[in-house]
Amino acid sequence: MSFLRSIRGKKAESLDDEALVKAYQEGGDLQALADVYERYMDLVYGLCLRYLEDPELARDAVMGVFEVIVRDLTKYPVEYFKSWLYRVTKNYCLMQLRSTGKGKIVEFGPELVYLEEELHLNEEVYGKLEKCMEALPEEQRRTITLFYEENKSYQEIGALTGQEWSKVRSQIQNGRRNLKICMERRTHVQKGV
Amino acid sequence: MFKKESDSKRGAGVSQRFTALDIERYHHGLMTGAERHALERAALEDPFLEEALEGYASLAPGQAAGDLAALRERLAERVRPHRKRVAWWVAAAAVVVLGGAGIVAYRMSEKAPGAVAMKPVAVTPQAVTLDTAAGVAKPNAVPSGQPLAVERKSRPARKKIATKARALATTKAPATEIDSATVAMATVPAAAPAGNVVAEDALKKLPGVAVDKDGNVVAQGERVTRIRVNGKQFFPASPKTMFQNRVIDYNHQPIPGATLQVGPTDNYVMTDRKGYFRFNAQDSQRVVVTAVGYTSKELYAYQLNDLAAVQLSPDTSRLNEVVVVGYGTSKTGLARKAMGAYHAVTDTNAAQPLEGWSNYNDYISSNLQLPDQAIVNHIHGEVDLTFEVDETGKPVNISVAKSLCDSCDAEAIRLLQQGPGWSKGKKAKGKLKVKF
Repeated sequence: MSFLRSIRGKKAESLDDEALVKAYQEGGDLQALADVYERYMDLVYGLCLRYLEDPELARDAVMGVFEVIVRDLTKYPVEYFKSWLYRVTKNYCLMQLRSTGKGKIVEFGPELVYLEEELHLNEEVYGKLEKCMEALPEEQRRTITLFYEENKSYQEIGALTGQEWSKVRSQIQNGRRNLKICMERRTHVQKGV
Repeated sequence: MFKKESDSKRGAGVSQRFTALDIERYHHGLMTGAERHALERAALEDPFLEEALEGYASLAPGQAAGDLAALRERLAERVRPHRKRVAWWVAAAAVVVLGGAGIVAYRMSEKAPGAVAMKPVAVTPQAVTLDTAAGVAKPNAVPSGQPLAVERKSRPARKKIATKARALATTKAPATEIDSATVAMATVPAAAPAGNVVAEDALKKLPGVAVDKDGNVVAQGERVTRIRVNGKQFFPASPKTMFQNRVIDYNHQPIPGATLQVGPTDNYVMTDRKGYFRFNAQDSQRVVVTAVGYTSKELYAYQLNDLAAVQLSPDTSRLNEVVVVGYGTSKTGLARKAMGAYHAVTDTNAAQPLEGWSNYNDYISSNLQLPDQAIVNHIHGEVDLTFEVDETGKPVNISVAKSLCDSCDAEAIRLLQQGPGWSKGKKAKGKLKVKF
């Protein structure tokens, strides 16, 4: 039995998320689902901790989320497991908060900060990026440069500029958002012309 | 190999999978600058990681590994073939029974110090040990009353914490060498009220020991961190100190309603209107200071006396949070419930956004510009607007039903005016709530 499982385990490691999900969806392989879930359990637990603010509740939520994916993966096709899991986990925690009456307002803003795709840096894009960088507020530009070009951590940037960790992070997030908006605007302008 | 390929297609952030252990090392400053950068960079690309990173910040060092091991175990049990589950239930029952017994035992042992506090009258001699920041101190010998044996004991583990505490509290009391002696505890009131009052009174009567008004116990100039009577702890743990200070922001403005708490289930203390608080805690306990709109801070209790330490910085990520509360029913009703951000107010007659509430919410959240006035004054709340919809779907006759601040109202109106069109309801009237 354990011998069999160790072979499975090795097999599972080499498979990508979607293949394991498929093994569950098509063959009902619960172990395959557990294997792929385990890859993200650290993140799921962290996310639950963030919302539920209690380790015990968070651990129960991690198990609860697994039940949800066991149920829902047979019903819906899932293209990209990780981002789907992120949404499922978040919704599960929010439902928990609602049901315990711990009414807490939860943002749906931060997702806007994340770029969906990496920018492909060809010359045209690079030119735009440079212009957009120039348009950034001085502080944001400096922080972004330190982070992306000099590969400094928030802590190191904080030490250089005398800012709080959280300030550095929000500057990078805001800078990224501004850059994204600026890049999009320039694209629109070009299309319009 | 497969994984690497598919991952790299989806951006640099996911090519390395960060574990809870990495995150823990990050939070406890055990990563190199390059490692920190890599994690931060990945978190910027991956909201899942970013939020998990925040979640782990509240865990004590070393806890994550144990928690995850337990979770992996639970998951393995969950997917184990059915036949074996009987054994699992038996095991679980055993755990519950044993765990229950453990809790009972723990509770009882917790109560024990209180009982000990009542005992000094009956039991002689008493062995009293006082741990101070520098090690273990003993009160001076006094030959009257009931004799108390004082023992010298070194506790390296505690000493480490205490020494750290001392270094940061910048007390310079030298380690006092105290001769081994038998001291007396004068009469302890027989019918004394329980707990610390007895302890304080009793301790005050020990020579060389003083209890100040904040409840700090000092033996020969050094703060006592733990007292044992007959080998049992006299206080539940080490004596608590009352810390008094105020919570301020970076403009040195007081933050009222900030909370201080040791653990999520412990009692908390809230700052008053002027930001002042009084908080009882042991020096080495970790205290979390939180306030709406500010980044929480976790610090050692002894740092609470330092004004700079309890200074909170605005949580800019939260300030930018925007929640649109829509009136009216919509097909996204279920999704809204899940978000927890909506009040389900049903008014099918009211005007509806042409593109649906979900799209309208997206519009608001990506276009809202938080007015400076709201940032500076930490304004949170909602602006309610009512309006009519004209023939072309434009909102007209906009009026503010509930105001928040001048520039907030103006921003809400701007959003409504410049936003997508509306379809007339039966009443041709619309309502919009914009949350700042």
